[in-house]
Amino acid sequence: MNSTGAIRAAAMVMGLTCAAGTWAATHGRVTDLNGAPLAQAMVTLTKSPSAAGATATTVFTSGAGEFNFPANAPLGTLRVRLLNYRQIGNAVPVGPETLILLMSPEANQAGTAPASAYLKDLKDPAHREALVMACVACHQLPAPEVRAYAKLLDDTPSTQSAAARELAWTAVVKQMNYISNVEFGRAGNLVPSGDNVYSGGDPAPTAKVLTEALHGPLLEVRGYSYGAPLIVTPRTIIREFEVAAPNAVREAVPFEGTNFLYAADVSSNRLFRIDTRSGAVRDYPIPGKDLWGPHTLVPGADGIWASPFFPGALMRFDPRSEQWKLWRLNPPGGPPVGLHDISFDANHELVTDHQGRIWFSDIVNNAVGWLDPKSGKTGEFKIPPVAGRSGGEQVYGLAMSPDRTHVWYCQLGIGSFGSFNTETLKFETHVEFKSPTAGPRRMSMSDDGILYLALYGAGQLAAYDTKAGRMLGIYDLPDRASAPYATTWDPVRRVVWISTSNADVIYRFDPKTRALGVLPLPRERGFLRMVHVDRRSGALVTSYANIVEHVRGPRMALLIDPGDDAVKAASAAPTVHTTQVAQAPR
Amino acid sequence: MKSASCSLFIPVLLFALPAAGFAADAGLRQGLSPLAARQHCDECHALKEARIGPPFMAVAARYGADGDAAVNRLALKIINGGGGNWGTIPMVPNERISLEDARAIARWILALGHNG
Repeated sequence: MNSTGAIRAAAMVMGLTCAAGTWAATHGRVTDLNGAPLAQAMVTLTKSPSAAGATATTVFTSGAGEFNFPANAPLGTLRVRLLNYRQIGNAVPVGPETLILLMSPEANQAGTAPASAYLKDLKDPAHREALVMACVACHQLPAPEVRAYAKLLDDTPSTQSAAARELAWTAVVKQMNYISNVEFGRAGNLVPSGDNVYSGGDPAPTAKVLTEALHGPLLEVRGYSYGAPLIVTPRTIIREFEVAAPNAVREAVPFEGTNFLYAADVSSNRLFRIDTRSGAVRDYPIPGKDLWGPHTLVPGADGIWASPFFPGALMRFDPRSEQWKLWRLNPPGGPPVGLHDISFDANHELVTDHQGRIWFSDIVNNAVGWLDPKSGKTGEFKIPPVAGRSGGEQVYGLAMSPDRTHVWYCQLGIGSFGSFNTETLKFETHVEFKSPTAGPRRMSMSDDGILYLALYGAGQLAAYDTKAGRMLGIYDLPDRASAPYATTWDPVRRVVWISTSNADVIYRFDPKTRALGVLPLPRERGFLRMVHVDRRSGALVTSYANIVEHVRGPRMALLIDPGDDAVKAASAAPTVHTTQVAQAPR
Repeated sequence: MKSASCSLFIPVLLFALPAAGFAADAGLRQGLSPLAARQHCDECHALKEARIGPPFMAVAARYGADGDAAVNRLALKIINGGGGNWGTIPMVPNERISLEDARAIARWILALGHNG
């Protein structure tokens, strides 16, 4: 992140044009100190507190180094960011509406490279995989605080030996296990005590790898590259909307036909509604005394469906009536049902099977379950144990087949995925990745039945043909330490978006060419959740979903126009729509 | 260039909702002061038992007689971290904690010696 701070000159120039009675589209150029233009630099306008609109708006420079903000961009401050460069000084006005931003080469990428850059030189891929799976579920690694501790170890006389550093990292892993127990133990009302306080697992293996990975003061990182071409254009616009604290923004989704984004607050009982034109935020608490903590959101024809952090319910918010409806799932005397993902289709909208049942993954019970929202009836099917990998399965992602006869699930904790036939009520396909820590996390399915899985630990994308029953390919992502969190099939562009937890980027995968591209994000610690595609505009919606209370990352909803004119192109071609409305039972 | 009104201003709504604060509950349940709980001191310390770091009672017993000098030293240790006095493992820096809050936590720790 460029540390040169706010550029007041930009606000001054815009303020002058405002005082003259007009708003000017802010535009300018980014060059090096020799005047050579710098392409694909991120120029971010952070609005002044009193202005309306997105908290920050980012555009990218053209090949000639030129940038343009939308005509209605608010008053604010400017900064520019580009890998291998640092900003020099403030923006300089060179005319009534034109600014020059200067940059100078910088080999030390510590100010601009993502956390994943510090893991690029790990010799053993298994070590990288282990670190991502153990640490990045809660925070980026190495986050600035982790780097600060590495420097402290480097400075401290008593921790000059590898053995002493390993002891210290063991202590840090214990501390993180404690935080994890407190954070995620909330759902089970865990009370930390002397017995369970550091019970998150054996800290030694992770500490050993941390000792190898994070040696030295970590003040420098060099030679990192995005690993694939940037897909941004001069028309790309990233709008970031911050929600006032306290909050813990989890998923953010569009709702078709509106200019609102809806974001879940997993720390409390509410959804936020963000007006993307004005930036105004409104909240919608879930009624009642129970604390639910909504996290996963899936838009549907009848509202936005939410699965809660605390077990036992599925809920829906109707943006039109602004009313909540809640279905309780816990069977009498049975274990609490812990939803993670809810069945959705290739348009990323809620879908039922032919009996009108919504399906979900139950991370608590390693099961797939269903709810008939009309009758309120519910049920579950325990996933059969996987030989040699039983325990800690963490059934996570869920997607429904285009013919609505199967749900596909993945098991984050044991590196496997499979299918369940919703008509015969039998488990069918089961596939294991070679590595049990490959980490299939959240997934999506195209309208032709290709299942795309984000392999969190392995840093790969898997494409599986569910009709033919064969793996089409497992593709290395450009940054194997990027911790790909979710895939999203994009029905407008017919590509796959892959959000990352550790690299501050979204990847784009084209199934036709198998080419990967990179959409860089303007904010450090962009701990992303799933991407949703607004089919009306082609915009991408996602969130910086830092939820652990004292992780100091951003909590924001994002609205991204990739700048590829995809909606125009798609409207000229026939589109494929899958059925979304529940049919009468057969 | 486009004409528009300069008076366009729609404020972001602010909420009067309770703070998240769930993690602080864990520290409160273990007898920490509200401030120490809010700053998550329980992640590494307990009142009477050794965790990653020394028990607060032991810190109070060692430094309680040093008065304001100890308050200042402990406060800076809380913020900057560091090792040397309680084994080889350095304490993590807590740069998010203000000097004022760190002093208040240090005073609470040192007072445990008087109360114990």
